Amino acid sequence: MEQEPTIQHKTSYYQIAGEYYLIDKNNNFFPKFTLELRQRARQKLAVNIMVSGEAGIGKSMMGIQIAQCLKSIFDVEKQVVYTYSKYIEAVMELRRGLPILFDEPTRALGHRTWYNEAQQVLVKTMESQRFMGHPVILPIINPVLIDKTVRNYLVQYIVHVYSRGKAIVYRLKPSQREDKTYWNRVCKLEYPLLSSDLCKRDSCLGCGKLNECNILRGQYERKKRRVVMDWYKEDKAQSIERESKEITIETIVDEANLLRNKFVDSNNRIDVQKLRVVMRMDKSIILSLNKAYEVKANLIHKYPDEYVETVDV
Amino acid sequence: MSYKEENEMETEEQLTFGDRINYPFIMGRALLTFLKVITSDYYDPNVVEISAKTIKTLIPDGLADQDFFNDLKNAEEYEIIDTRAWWCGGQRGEKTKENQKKVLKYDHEKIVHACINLLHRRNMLSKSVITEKRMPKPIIDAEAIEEKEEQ
Repeated sequence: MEQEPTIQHKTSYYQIAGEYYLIDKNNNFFPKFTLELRQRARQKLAVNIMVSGEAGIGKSMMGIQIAQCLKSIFDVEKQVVYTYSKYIEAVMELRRGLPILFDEPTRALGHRTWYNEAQQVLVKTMESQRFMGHPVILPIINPVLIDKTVRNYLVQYIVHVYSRGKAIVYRLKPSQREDKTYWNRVCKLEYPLLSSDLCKRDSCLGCGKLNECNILRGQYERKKRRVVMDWYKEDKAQSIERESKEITIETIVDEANLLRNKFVDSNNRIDVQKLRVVMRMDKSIILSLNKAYEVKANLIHKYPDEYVETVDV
Repeated sequence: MSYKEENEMETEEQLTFGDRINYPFIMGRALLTFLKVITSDYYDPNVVEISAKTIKTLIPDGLADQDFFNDLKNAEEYEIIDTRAWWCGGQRGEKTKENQKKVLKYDHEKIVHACINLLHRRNMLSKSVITEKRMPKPIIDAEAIEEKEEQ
C-alpha cells in the first residue's frame, strides 16, 4: 500500500517591535495587519483606526496592543486621552509617529459631546498628518455613532472585536465615483492579554495592588478610574443643581424652617444670603437670589409667629 | 486587483475577454467533465487523457509557478515497450536494448491534481482567511529570578 505523502508543517516566529508573531503557511498565519500598518507609517500615510465592539469586550486593550505594533514603547499618561483639548496637547507635545488612543469614556452614550469631539479629532488628523503624523486609534461601541462622511473618508481601518483578544480587521476604501465605501477583510487578529507575562490575573478590576501596580494594564486602569471619578463628581454637582430646581417651594420652605437658627440674625430678620449658603451646604439645595427671596416671603407667611422682627431699643 | 470596483467596471467600455467570458464557469465545467469521465462505467483512457489536457490547457502561463512545473514533471511516467513483432503466439528475435523503446506517458490524475494545487496556491479555489497571531510572552517569575541571582 502506498504511503500518503506527509505534509510538513513549517512554523516559524517573526519578531516585530518586540513581539513574536506566528508564521504558518499551511494554516494561513501571518502578521499581515502589523506589516501593513508599519508600511503606511513609514510612507507617512494617514493611519486612523476605529476599534469597535460591545462594552467591556476589551476595545481599549486591543487599541493599546495595535499602538504597540507601531511603536513598542507606550506611555499611558501621554498617549491615552479622553477629551479634544488633551488630544491637541498630545499632538503638539509627542514626537512624530507616536500613536494616540482617543479613548471612549464609560459615559459616552449619555453625553453626545464625546462623539462630536471624536469627529473633530478625525477631521484634525487631515491637517496634522503632514507635520505631526500621529496615528489615531478610536475605541467606540459602534462605528455608526460617528458621522458617516467622517467615518467613510477619514478612517482607514475598522477592527471589530468580537471576543477577548480576537478581532476582524476591515480596510475601508471609498469609491472615487460614487457615494460608496467598500469594506475589505484584511485578516483576523488573535492577541494575548496585555502584560500577561508580568501578571497572572486576567483583570485588574478587584485587584488590591492596583494603586501601586506599574504594568501597562494597571497604569491604564488607574488613569481611567481617575478620569471617570472626576467626571462622576461633575455629574453629581450638575444633578444636584438640576434636582434642586425641581423641588417644590413648599418643600424648600419646610426644610429651611428646620435650620431657622442659622440664617436669622439677632433681630429675628431673615438674611437672604445666609439662607442661600445654609441651604446649599446643609441640604444641597441651590437657590437663586430670586428664589431665596421667594422662600423668605413664604417663611414669613407660613410661620408668622416665628419670624417676628424685634427692634433694638 | 485586491478588490473589485464593480461600478467602475460598468462605466468603462467592456472590450476585454475577462468582462465577457465566464472563466470560472468554463473551468468548473472542465473539472466536472473529468470527474464524470473517470467515474464512468465505460472508462476510456483516451477520453481521460483529453479531458485532463483540456484542464491543463485552460491554465494560462502567467499563472503557473515553479511548483506547478515540478508537479507536472512528477506526473511523467516512462513505460518500456517491447517493439519485437509477434509471430504465432510469441515474439520473434532476441530481447535487446534496441528492441526496448521508452515511451513517455502521463498520469492524468496527477496532472489535474497539479492544476488544482496551482489554483489553490493562487487563492482561486477558496477564500483564505489570514490570521495574525501574536504569541504570549512567558510569565516572568520575579522570585525565581531573584533566587537565580542569589545563587
